[in-house]
Amino acid sequence: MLWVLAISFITFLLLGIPIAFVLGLTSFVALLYTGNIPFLLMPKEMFSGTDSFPLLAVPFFILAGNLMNAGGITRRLIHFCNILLGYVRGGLALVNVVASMFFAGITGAAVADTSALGSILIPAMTERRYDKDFSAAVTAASSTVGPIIPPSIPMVILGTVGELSIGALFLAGVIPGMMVGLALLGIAYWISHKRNYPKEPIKSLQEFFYGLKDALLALLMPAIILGGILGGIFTPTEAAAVAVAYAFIISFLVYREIRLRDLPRILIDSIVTTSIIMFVIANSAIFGWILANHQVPQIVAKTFLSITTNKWVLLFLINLFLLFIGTFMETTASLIILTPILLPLAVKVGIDPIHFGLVMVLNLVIGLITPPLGVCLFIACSIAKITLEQIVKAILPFLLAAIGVLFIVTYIPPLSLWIPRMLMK
Amino acid sequence: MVSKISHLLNRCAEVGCLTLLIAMCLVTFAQVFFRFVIVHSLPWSEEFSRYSLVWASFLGASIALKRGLHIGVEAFIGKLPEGKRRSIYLITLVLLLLFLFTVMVKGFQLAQFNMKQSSPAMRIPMGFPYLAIPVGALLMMIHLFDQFFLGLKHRKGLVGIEKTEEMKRVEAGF
Repeated sequence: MLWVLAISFITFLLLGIPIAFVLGLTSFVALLYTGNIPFLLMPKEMFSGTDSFPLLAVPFFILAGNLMNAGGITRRLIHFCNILLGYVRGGLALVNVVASMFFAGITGAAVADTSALGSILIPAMTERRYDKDFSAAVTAASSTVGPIIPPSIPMVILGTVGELSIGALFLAGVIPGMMVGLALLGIAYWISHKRNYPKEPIKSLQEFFYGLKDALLALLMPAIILGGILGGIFTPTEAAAVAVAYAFIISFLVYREIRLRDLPRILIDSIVTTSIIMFVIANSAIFGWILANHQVPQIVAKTFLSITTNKWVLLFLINLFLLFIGTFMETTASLIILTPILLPLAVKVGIDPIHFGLVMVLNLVIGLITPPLGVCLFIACSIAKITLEQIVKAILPFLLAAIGVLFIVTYIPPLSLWIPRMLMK
Repeated sequence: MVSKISHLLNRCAEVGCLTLLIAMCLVTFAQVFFRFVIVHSLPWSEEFSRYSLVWASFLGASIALKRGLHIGVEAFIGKLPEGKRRSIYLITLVLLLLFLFTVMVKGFQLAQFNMKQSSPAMRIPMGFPYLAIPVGALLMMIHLFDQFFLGLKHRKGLVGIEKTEEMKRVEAGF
């Protein structure tokens, strides 16, 4: 039976069928093969997978991010970062990383980060005689902080599936997210120094304050979200709805760059993005049911535990496994399928679930910049108009730095657990 | 003919999604407002938003399909020559249609079974939220039929294979 699942899954995946349908079709084949489970299961699981109040945070965070983006926040953040760091050697590369970290406080997805920042910064960097492959690599690598620094869509999904506190997961991402950002910043500076990339002129103090005002309005958003959740005022979903209201006010009343007639398009695009994720979730729910019905979680747990029961060795093995999965599987689908399998295993050997959740998300996000199949690489390449072969070499130092941080965070749990423990008890 | 229906239904789905998203935002915001300012929780708000999300998800999934935005792994298939890719695409369309057909039929059954049961807070028949799934599946089937006939008749216009994976990702926005 497991062979039927594995073979049909891989075949459908290779045929280029969208991942949501791959999961649905594989489940369909499994049901046909088993023969004694009613097909009524399919719509039923699809419904119970999507009927969830925590998941409602997904459309809200996406909408808030899109509103801020259409309102011109991206350009303002880049401008502010340029004032902060532009005058250093390799200024624009550093700006790229820091802007990603700020931007991560507004959106919760890596790909949005790559395309929004990349479309402005890659051309700007090319114009200032940075190598194209380096510019694309910095952009792709730095966008990985998007889902680590709160808010984060993968964390919402993980919290929902694994029944963990979404607020605690958000907080767990703060220090590791900063660490990834700083590591990438270090690499970018080192390479820029070696290759003697240009500096930008120093800006005046007055420009600094104007820039700060614009950036502060953007940075207030993660503060409202986290503050609201922590103070016990909002649930994460409500916090996301408040973020939408905030983004709406900022874009329409303060920045005044969007017109009212752009609004329907932004709303529809946001819901379409959401429903792509939700449709993956719906289909993963059927697939998850089938896996559970065939005791796959128990089998996987047994296999892992037969290799080792030491939690540090186990974490190492799981990290390797997730890095591998993350390169070719979509983040949402991986989270929904793997959380019910791996989380109980981790808890069993004494790993804190919040720590483990963060490690999982960080792993899968690094998969987005791992050649040959990293999605963020594809996007950065298409913006920079270079081939995948060119970016592979340039991404390597950044990738190694990110994996380095991953292992540090994996083996020093307080890095992720300190803030949630301090603030949530 | 199928094309026209597909386009028209897609417009309707877009309007539906737009309305639902606005409603979800307003209701969730009202939920916060009522709890803090009026100190009186709305009993139905959470349920309303949840069911709206289910409807918006399935309507939206059909729009995403129409726009060719559902993301798959195209690293292998992308290496094949155009003609082969096209034939594979048409075969996969048949598979998807079979799957969606089952989901639709069983979904209508599920909704029908639940018409007599009412939801805990709003007291509406549970069949209505369940209906999102068969309706979404039906819309997706119509869009796929449109693609299938287009693929048999012409060489161009297959939205699922004309966009590269990164184009889909950027347009999808995540």
